[in-house]
Amino acid sequence: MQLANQNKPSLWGSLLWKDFQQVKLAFLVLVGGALCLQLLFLTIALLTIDHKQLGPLSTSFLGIASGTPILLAVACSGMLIGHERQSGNWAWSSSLPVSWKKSLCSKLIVATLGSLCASLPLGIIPAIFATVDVLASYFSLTLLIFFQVIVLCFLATLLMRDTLVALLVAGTVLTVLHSFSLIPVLHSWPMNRFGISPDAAPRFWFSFLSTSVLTVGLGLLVSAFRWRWTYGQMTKIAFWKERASTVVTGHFRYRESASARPSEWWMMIVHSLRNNFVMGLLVLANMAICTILFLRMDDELHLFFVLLALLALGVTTFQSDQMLGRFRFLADRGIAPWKLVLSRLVVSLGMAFPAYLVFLIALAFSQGQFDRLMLGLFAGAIAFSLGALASMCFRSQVMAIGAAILVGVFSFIINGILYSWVLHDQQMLTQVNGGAFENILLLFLPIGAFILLVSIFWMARRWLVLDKPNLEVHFLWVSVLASLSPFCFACTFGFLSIPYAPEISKPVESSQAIEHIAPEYLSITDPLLAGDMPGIAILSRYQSETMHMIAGSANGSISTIRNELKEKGDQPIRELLEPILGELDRLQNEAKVPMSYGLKNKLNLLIVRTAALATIALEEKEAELGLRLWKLNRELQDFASKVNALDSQGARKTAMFLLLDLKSEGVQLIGGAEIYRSLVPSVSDERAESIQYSLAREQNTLQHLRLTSSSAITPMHWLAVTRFFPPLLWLYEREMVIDHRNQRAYFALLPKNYLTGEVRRQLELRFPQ
Amino acid sequence: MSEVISVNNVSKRFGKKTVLDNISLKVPSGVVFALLGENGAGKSTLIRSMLGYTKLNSGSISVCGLDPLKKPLEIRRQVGYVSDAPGLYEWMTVAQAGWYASGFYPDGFLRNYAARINEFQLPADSKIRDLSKGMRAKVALSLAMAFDPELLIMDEPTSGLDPLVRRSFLESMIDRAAAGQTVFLSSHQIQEVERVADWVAILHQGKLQIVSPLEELKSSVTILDLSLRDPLLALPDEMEQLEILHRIQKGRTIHMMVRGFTSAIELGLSKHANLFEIKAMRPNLEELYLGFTQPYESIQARERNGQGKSNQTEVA
Amino acid sequence: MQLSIEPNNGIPIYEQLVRQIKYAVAEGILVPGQVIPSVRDMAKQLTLNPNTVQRAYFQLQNEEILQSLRGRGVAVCEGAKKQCVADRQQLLAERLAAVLDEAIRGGLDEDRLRSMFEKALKNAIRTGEKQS
Repeated sequence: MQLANQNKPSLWGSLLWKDFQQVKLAFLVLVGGALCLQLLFLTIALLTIDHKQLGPLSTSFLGIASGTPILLAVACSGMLIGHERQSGNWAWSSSLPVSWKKSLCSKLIVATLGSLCASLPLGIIPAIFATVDVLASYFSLTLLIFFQVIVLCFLATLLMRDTLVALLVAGTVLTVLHSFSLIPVLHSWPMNRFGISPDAAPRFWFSFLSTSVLTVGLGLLVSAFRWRWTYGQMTKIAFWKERASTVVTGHFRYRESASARPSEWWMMIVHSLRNNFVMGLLVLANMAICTILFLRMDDELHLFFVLLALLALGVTTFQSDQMLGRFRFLADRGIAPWKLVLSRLVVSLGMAFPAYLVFLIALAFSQGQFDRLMLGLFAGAIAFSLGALASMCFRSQVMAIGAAILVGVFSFIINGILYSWVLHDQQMLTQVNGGAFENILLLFLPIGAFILLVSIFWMARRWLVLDKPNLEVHFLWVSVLASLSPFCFACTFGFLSIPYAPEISKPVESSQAIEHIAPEYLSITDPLLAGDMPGIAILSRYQSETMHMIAGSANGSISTIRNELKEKGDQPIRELLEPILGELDRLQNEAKVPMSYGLKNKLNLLIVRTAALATIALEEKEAELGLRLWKLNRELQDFASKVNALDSQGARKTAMFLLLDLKSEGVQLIGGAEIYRSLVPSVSDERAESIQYSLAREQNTLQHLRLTSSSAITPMHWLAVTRFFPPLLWLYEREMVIDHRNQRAYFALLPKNYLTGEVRRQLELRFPQ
Repeated sequence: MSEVISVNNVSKRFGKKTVLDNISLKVPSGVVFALLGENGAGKSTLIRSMLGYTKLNSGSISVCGLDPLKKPLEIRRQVGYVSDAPGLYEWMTVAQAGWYASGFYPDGFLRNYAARINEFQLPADSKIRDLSKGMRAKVALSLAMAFDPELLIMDEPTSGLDPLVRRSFLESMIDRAAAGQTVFLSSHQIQEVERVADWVAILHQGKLQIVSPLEELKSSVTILDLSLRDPLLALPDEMEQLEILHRIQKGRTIHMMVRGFTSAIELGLSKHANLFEIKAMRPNLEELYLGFTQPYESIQARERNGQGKSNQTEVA
Repeated sequence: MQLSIEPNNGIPIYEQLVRQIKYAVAEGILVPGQVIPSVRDMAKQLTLNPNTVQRAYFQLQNEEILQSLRGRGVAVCEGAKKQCVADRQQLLAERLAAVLDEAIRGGLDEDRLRSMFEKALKNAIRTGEKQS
């Protein structure tokens, strides 16, 4: 027989083979899933035209690559120790002549080396996008957390009988231990996306704590393993004295009826409570801890953890039924499947819902935003239902929670992709009307939870009756359906939420528009531009980008100065002026020599700063100061265009932009149109360009107003899907009509043109009342 | 003949409950030793402490001359263990399970294992989770025997298995015994134990009631069924010479299990007028077991408490 | 050769085995010179303890009913049949005595007993003639 002729394996060979076989599947699934996730992100990155977004995405890649080994470590401890102990394999394996040292080493080797090696493919993509020092810092942090997770999870699964509870406890302990050091590290990290946190103290504390956890944990692990391998196999560590089951009936004495027989529902509720209580409590405790720890952070990380906790609570719904077959007791007595399922759901929902509500309200109060409450509620409902469905469909706890998390994450990402890519790329629904589509999507989110819950009840009979119900496939397609349906519903029926406006006004003719806006500008434009009518043509892409940058940098400078002012407290702006004046004098003295690089920089900075300061001053109603600053700015601009025209282009454009953006109150403050005109620098390329930009901006708005046929609405680069899917088109049209109604008021307030002194005539746009 | 297992004054408590109370026994080599006792008597605890899985509160055990707590590995190299719920890896095939285990034993394991698998007609390529309970038990037995252990310890290995599988197990045990190796068995199947056991030990409520070779036990103990004419008269004096292990009286018949019954005593009893029928029989193991697990003292105690009196007033 | 051992009928197992082998030899089921299964095989076949089987074989060897052939196992001795028949008769005599004892003790008188015995004897001879 072949078996007899095989070569006998070595001791290490046997052990390593056995341990590796056990975790093989988990490795494949997790690493495969993570790789798919990374590829998904990569595809998005490559498909988005805007390559600036690659920066934030590289942290996502790194996050996936760092998170996977940790997940693998948890899975390893669950399989290698938890599952072995629970299924009796541990007892048999320890009855063979294997020393505990070798067994422990083999498990540790598979867990550490295996996880790290399996995660290597995940490092390929980040290596392309991220810099070496970022990689190094992520790597070191990940390794530290990874080893701690291994040690603590191994220890917990050794000491406790229930695998999932043990892993939960290990996670909680780790979080609590690091609560004071890890959070500042993570907190400061996203702010320095491409660098290492400058704050050394939390890093040191974190490393110190980590190494001490590792040493102590390793020592405990070794002794616990030895104990469990030899004479501690059956010992149960109980945190409370287990009393007989009379506690159920005794504790919940509710009323004395004639027959003293509890009602069916009461019996089932109590039965469910006994099932889920401890596990549910643990999850809630975990959630509470995470909430308290992470609430200070502005990131969405705490919401992620809480949703995870809700998922876990959902998974506790049917888990003890699956493990211990308790439902058979009720099923054998002819209880209807839906009643059984409802009783289980009631208990776990009863634990989850109030806690989650409290959390959401606390979050809303702490951040001062209440609009996210509904989104949080619905997301929580979906997470919970997903967990409950997973616990019904999968016999093993680990598989249930793994599948639920995977599906949850993937559906979240896919929904995000669908939302931002398909819609954003078509530049419609998110930009118009302040994001009405978001609200529509929110409205349809509960459908996902509804589908999940209904399928639980639908499958209840099959789960109860059949020995091998094979519900895993069912889970897959139901969860896919539930995750895609809100989006599909929103696209299909979203247009119903916006009132129908069948009449579209006669379009404003382009010639009329130009007549209204163009003349003032045309009269003052540089002869250079005479041949070109910059108005009607759509701005070239480059120009629009440039203008975006200028606008951005202008706004950025203003906000920088505002922050500075905030920091300096009540110091009036005047005091900030002194150093600027000093600088100016110095500059004028040194102007004779060819300017150094530093001086050029300083000049540009001064130009932008004075313009920004002037804007702020006028907002603060400091008229005299504002005027002085603008005059300074004018001088600086003239000076710069004489000595350093090329290098100061950007700064001057920014200053011009800020000047031209002045509202009517500002103009009044500085003393009227005449003075305003004197502040504008003499004819220059920059001035022309700014005027061109203002004109084009008006043109763009005008274009928005031109509602003609639907084909005109659709720009060339839209996806075909909206052409062929009418409901989306109807949604857009209706939103546009509403938006333009709202914009009417804007056009009624067209300001005086302070360059020429004339009031712009109101554009008459006819809209249905 | 040296002792393979030596248990000396072993006691074990779980919380307040005493599971093993001052147990001492010695298992000679080359015998089939059966440990009988009801569920919860402490059989499994004793066996686990023999393998080093439980620490003892007092006393010591030595298996093959080694202390299980100090040298568990050496013991496992020489002792095969089959438990009542073998925790084999569900995902392994039968062949893989053997291959895995062979890494820990010297050469020859695989050959033996393959031969045994063949003998039991087990499919080598099916996964353990697809096998029936009986087949799994056979796999566990094959694994335990494949390295030719000097001592085979079995903890209720055939509980819940069909007669064919049980016969296979019995045959394997006999094989081992015939080859001169020791088998330590804890079981409920009294009929099977009766056929194959050399020595029996009965454990009841943590105490060892009797340890003895089966044959000797059967020949030294007698079952006496006495029929009385008048149940209220005292029993003859000859009864004082007997060691009464167990006694139940129902109306006019007394069923007793005694030690030290000789033909002289029988003669003396037969002369007694009150006793009109005396039946003396060799006990079978079941009767011995029942008798030893309900010792006479406990019956006396029950009678003293007023529960036994009613029996005596029954009319036969 | 079909042997059936009842472990719980009061007769020691080895004794039962001895008697049944003697019976088989006496009946001619086992002929002199025939090799019977070894201790190990017999024990496996009957699911008995090998020591018990060993004891039975030992006793039979002492009574010169079986002899051990070096290397080939255990065989029936040449003059075994006579001995076995005699032993069987001895056993029957004992059984008869026990029956009579019981009858007398039960209160049966001698004449009645004798007529019962004659009747049973006649029947037995008749059925024995039919069989042969």
